[in-house]
Amino acid sequence: MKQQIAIMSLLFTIICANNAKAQQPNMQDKPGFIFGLTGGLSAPGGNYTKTDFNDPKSGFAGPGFNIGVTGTWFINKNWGINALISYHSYSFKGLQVLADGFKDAFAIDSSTVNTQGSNYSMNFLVGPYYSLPIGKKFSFDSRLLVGLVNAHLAGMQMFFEDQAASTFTQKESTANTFGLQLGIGGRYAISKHSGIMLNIDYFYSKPDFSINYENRNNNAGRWITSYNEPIAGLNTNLTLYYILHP
Amino acid sequence: MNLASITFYDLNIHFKKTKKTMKKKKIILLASIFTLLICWSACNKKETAIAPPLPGNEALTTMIITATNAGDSTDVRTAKWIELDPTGATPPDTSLAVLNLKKNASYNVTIQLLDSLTDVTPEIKDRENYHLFCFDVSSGLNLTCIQTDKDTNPTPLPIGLTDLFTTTAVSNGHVEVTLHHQPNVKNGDCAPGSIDMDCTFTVNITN
Repeated sequence: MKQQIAIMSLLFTIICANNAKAQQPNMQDKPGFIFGLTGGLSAPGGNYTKTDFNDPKSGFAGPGFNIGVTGTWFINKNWGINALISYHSYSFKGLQVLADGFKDAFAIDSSTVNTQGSNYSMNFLVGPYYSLPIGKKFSFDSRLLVGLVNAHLAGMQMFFEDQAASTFTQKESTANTFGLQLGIGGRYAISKHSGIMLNIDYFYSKPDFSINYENRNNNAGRWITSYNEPIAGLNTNLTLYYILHP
Repeated sequence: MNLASITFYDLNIHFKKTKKTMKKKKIILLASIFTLLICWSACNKKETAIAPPLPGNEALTTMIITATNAGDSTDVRTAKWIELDPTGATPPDTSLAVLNLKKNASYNVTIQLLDSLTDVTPEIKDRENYHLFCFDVSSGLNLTCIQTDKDTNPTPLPIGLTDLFTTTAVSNGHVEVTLHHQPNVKNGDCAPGSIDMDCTFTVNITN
């Protein structure tokens, strides 16, 4: 009886051990499909973040965040097709420069600038994905994505002194354009089906916004009728992913 | 191999697996918290910036009107209105604020503004798109005043730094010259905005 129990226990242990081994991640295996939730910091640069009141190229945007969903279908162990739907939001920068600028430009005692809406973009991108496994739990990944970008430029309302009639508004604006995203990252498998990825992506788009105003009567200070500067910079993201093996 | 040793082995594996699972859960939890924190901290908020008033704004002290007869360039008339006390406690010096014009004549007029001894006329010219000179002629005075310069607003509007004064019959009276500050409300009328300067000149139209 003891021997039977011992044999049964040994078999059970072997099965358990095998099963546990089967649950261990192995980057060397070809993944079928990877689905991920991604989010992180977005740091745009260039004219989009400039805060020069007299430069019409200044975008008065600051760093923000991005969140999105991503999916990669693997053709083989290394190559796949990646799709990304993401939302980028950028903060405001240099609003005081705008307030001071309008105060000076209209020779008024005081001015107040209120933002309306936000600077954001919705990206729908697709492109090739390359994964280079390093050991069983880690891989270096890279991707090049292109697609459509729906960008939005925040509006602003300017109050001058105590004269309600002089208040004018730069309306919010939306533009569609093509964009690209180029990224590299390190993917770490926590289990056979899940893991995390730290990636850095360069993003670029150049939407052509048409700017309209409400109650803008006199030509003084910053008055732009269009804004066509690149929205480009770096995303630093953390992605939680789930793998479906073939 | 006895039963006791197998049980201990199983426990050991179970303990290691539990530890591993907890580690994984911790990583996922931390990653989720990190992502949520990023989104929360970067969430868009309506922002406001205020440029507050600065004390001690300089006041305009002097207005000089120079009128040149369109038919006789040697006929140049000048009038000066001075108020050196920006508080208004001391009345303005109007001893030189007298403009003597000939009847049935046209005068090309220029207006110059001083801040103490500094000529600020170029500043007004720079800010022409929201400044306007208006002329209020007293009844009985046979004088018409028309601004001849235009600003650079989308629809050009008069400024009044240069004007055309036209006289008819002999008469006496006053003309009140006001400089209107109309930030983003300038529309060609005198009503909107505030008044930067208000000067009254005596006008004598003679033979």
